[in-house]
Amino acid sequence: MNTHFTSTANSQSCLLDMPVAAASEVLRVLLVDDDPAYRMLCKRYLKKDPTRQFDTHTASTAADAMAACLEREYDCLVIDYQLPDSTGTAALDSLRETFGDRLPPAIILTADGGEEAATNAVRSGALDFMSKRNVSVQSLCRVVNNAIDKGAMRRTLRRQNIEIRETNQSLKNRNDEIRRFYHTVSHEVKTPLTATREFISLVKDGVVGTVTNDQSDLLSLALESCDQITRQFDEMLDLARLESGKMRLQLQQCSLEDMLARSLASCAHAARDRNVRLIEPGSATLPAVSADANRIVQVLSNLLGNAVKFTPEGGQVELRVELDPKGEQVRLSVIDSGCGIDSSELEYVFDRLYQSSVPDGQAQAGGLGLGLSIAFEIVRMHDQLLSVSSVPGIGSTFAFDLAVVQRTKAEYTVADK
Amino acid sequence: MNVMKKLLLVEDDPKIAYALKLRLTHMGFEVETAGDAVYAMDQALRQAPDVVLLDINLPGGNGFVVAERLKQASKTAGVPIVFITASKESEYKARAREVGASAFLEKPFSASQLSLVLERCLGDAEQGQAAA
Repeated sequence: MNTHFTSTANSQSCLLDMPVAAASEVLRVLLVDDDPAYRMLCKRYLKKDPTRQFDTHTASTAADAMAACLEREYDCLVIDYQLPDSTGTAALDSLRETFGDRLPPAIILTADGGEEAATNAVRSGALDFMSKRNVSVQSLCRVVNNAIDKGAMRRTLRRQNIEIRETNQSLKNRNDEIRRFYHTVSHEVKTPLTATREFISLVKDGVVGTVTNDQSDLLSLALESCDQITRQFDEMLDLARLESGKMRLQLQQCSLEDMLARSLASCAHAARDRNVRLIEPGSATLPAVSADANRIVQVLSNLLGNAVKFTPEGGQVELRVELDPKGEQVRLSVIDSGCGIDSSELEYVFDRLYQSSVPDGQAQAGGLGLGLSIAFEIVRMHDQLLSVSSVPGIGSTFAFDLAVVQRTKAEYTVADK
Repeated sequence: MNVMKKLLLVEDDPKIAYALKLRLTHMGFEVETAGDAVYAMDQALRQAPDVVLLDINLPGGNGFVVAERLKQASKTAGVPIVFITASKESEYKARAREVGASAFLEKPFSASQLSLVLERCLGDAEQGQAAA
């Protein structure tokens, strides 16, 4: 067959990167027509092809054609539209049912002015059609050669398609393997880490004897380091989840107050340590929002943590909440008075592995640099955009919106009573 | 707590089991431990503890199977189960809910998280009993 790249492929096929039937190959054509004289004519014409050598077989009915195709492979089928037992297109349909993608390229021969036949021919997947009256050495040879070349290209495309699908699948499998590997590593690290953390915590809490303040301080630092390891593995897993599209949000109607309180609690300690003032949102009643509460707490904790980290001692970090005039969205902003982000860096802050260049002695960056890119993705999964604006030396603002859960009139009435 | 609450700790990592037993005893629990699924079921059915802390990946089965069995047995059906796991497999939380767990703690967790969860579970269980 002519479907593979072979050493006999001519220069044209190399140029096009398409396997075209080699000139020296004998190509088998099946001619299906019930008129013996017409069959002879076509056979003679095909013999005269200047470039290719055709071995023309014949069949007189659709049934014969089927039998012939079952017996051996053909490079091209030329089928008369009017057959004694069927139409050419019906014959082609049943051949396709039997051979599927392996069906050779086919040409339908139509009677004069057979527009309907021509339409049917194209619809039934014939590569080409030609009027019987126009059949000449040149036209027949051209149409058959064309069909064979197109058929070869189709086969190549099909094969490449299959290859792409297979590659895709194996990449997906590989991705799954990597994801599972991450999970295993994370589990294997967290198991001893759990024991470590608990042993440190037992000592610190005085369960096994009195601890001095200095000792307790050191043990607190050890605990913080344990939690840092946990966070880093969690970030790695989140990223793997995002990359494989396996992260799912659990959107629920949830309390904004609760989320804000949890987020602020996560960085209160660090803020106190660094003498950074945390400005909490006012106590106005906040609407319920539609969100994955744990994920939003993760985003806010990350933003607040960064803000505290990059704000010098004595600075301030504000968590601001604003309801839009229509009451449909609530905007959450984390505003710091930190070192700011240079405008040239601003567009990269949400890139994976982005790590800000911190002025000497201000703060240690640390971490895998995945936090902001994960935060961005989580906000995006809420159909919102995490935005950033910054003035170096003045501070940065990260902000995003959340959809407010619209209460029905009935709910208002009940709630207000 | 007036009467010491009985807690069954199912954990196959000996160091975690040791540390948690110390912690829980300090919190005032009477702690029994089991290191595999079969022994865990055996212990739970024999002792009918007030609460079970249950690891998920266990030799001889997994925590979900243990939980299902305990929820089926009349003696332990009302015992609150708290899963503790170092795994972040997202299906685990859903599975835990399905088998009727009261809470799900990701390892590592702090002593305050642990005590909060246990208090809540035991409170709920007592309320349940009072209602029944």
